[in-house]
Amino acid sequence: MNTEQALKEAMAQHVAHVHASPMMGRSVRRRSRRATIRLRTAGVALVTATAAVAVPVTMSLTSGPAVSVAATPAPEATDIVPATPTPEPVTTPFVVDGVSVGYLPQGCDTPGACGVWVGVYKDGATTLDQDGRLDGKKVAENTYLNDGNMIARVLDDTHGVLVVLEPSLAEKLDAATIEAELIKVAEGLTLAD
Amino acid sequence: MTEEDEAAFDEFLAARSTALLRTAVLVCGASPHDAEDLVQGALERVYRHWGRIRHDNPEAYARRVVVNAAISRARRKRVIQEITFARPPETAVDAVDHGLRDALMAELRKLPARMRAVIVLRYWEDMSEAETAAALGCAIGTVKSQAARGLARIRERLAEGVPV
Repeated sequence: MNTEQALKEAMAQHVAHVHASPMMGRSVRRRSRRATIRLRTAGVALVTATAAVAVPVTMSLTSGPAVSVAATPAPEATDIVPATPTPEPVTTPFVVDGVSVGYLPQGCDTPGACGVWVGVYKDGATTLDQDGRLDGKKVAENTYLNDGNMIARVLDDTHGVLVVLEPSLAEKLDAATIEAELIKVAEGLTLAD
Repeated sequence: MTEEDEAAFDEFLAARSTALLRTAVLVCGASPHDAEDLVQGALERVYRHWGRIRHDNPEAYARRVVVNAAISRARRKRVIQEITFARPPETAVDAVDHGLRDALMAELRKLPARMRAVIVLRYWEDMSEAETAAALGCAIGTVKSQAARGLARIRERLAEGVPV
């Protein structure tokens, strides 16, 4: 018997006694109802996060420069926030309006599995500065950590990026982790080809 | 979700939930109880998108969600184990004859999570290299190399008679 065959039999024997509970469907539906409640709660929280991004969106509509936003989780939450841009599930690497996002926290490679918002200011330095995002703690050249769960970085004259951790995600992490993760996301931002 | 969707989801669970649970047990090395919790979480995501995916190979989608969740869990578990056992005891492990099956399973659990997932999908689920690559979201070449290295590592360790 070769190794592959022996492994196959060993694995089959190892799980032979494992059976899904007949209550699986009920458990899944119960979790789904709980998740829906969580998503709605997150939706309220997302309003806060969205507001941070949506304000410059509104401003840019009136003052010229445009902002593109990509975010997770997936759109369920937007049904109660119809005025916000529709978030798209994130996959890495992905590109938001000319900016490539090379790093996302662990688990964020699965669509809908995390709450990271990435907004691109088309007129980078000027608009970010005007909006007061280029403020707070300077963590690298042209990179500022502010408001606890957001970081802003200017890549060039026309690309400023704001990264926001959804509050419901941020509250699960300690401040040091949030800072480290936001810095990594900011470091991973590059201009797309 | 329509009643028809609900009924189709129940049929899907009846047909596939045990297989998904077994895959999770093998990939993450958790107890059936812990694996069931993981599978429930994964199936909750499947349920949420069921109306959209039910006509588009829901089994592949579900397997992918379960395997990714199992890999993540196995990685977290490994970090905890590495911290806990950073200073292994110096006393020798009792030389107990666990038999070939237990030895193989012990060696399988020692593989990195993604490599183990490749082995489980290829040799337990009998998936082709292409199917395994699609399930894990990687290249076929990666599946080939991970499977070959995983098998080689298991053969090597068994040949060396490493205590398990």
